[in-house]
Amino acid sequence: MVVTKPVFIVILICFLVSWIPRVLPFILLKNKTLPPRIARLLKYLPISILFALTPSSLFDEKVGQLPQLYGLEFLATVPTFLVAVKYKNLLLTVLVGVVCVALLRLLT
Amino acid sequence: MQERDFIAGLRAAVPTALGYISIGLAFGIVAAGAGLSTLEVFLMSFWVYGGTAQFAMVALMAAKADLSTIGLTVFLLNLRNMFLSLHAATILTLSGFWSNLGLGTLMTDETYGVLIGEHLHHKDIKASWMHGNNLLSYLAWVLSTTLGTAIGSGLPNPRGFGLDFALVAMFVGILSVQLSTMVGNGVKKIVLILASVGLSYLGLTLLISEALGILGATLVGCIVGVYLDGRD
Repeated sequence: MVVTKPVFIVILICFLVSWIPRVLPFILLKNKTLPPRIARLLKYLPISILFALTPSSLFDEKVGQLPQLYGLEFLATVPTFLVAVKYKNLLLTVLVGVVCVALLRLLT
Repeated sequence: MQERDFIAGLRAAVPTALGYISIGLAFGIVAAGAGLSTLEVFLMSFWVYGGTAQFAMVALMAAKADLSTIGLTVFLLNLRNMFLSLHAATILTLSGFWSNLGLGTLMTDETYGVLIGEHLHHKDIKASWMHGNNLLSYLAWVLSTTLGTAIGSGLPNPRGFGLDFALVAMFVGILSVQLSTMVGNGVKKIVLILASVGLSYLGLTLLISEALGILGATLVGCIVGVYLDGRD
């Protein structure tokens, strides 16, 4: 049970940048809204960021060379996705994904 | 009277809390697979308290992103919450500085959703009701993520159990939910946005670091989305 200094600093910074936008409207109590252009940009943020985060775990990337795909893990995303769509249960999705990878590693 | 509102708020949060326990356990397993300690995850959930934000933090730390990239990503993800707070502040009957601070601090997408549902039936919603709604959800998240990490790090050989894949599996799960809510905006648009994110990510990691590639590709996806909206 340790807390390394870099992780602690990340948590501290992330606390500040997530807490301030949350409480500001309640403190200021003004019914100002964000500019519509920024509002539209934010609508696509979660889906874009989530999609950008996947390949970082599925590819081995190094600057100056084409990213290498981890084949076995990529294969396991297929049943994982099907379970996610069918059952819409995150815990089940994670467990099925983990078991698939464990089995594939056992077989290869 | 205030106490009764608070308890009614707690009760209204039960479905959210059950959802958080399931996601929280999954997140804990993910975090353990990425090498975070139980105490680190407890502190993260206690202070940051955000599903997508914490998921992004773990993925970016695993990608060895620098502090400014992680901070900027989490900041952008949380700007959404500002809309929710703006709206909620107009619905609730507010009472005092510290109460308001508490409302903003612990409100999430889901507790906001429950508030909107309640608002359909009652126009006058007390701050103490929302405190109950917020607090139970918060406790469920902090405790279940901590427990999930303890379970995950208790396993002797995480890689042998495929635990390092938990992060990808979690992403697939969250993304499929996001996709199903966004399909109403047009499938073609979503495909184009995702393709632009994927291609710019692969292009950017050739030139710059992985972490900056994630951030750059995200911004490209948002801009493409706004551009396609403008053409409708």
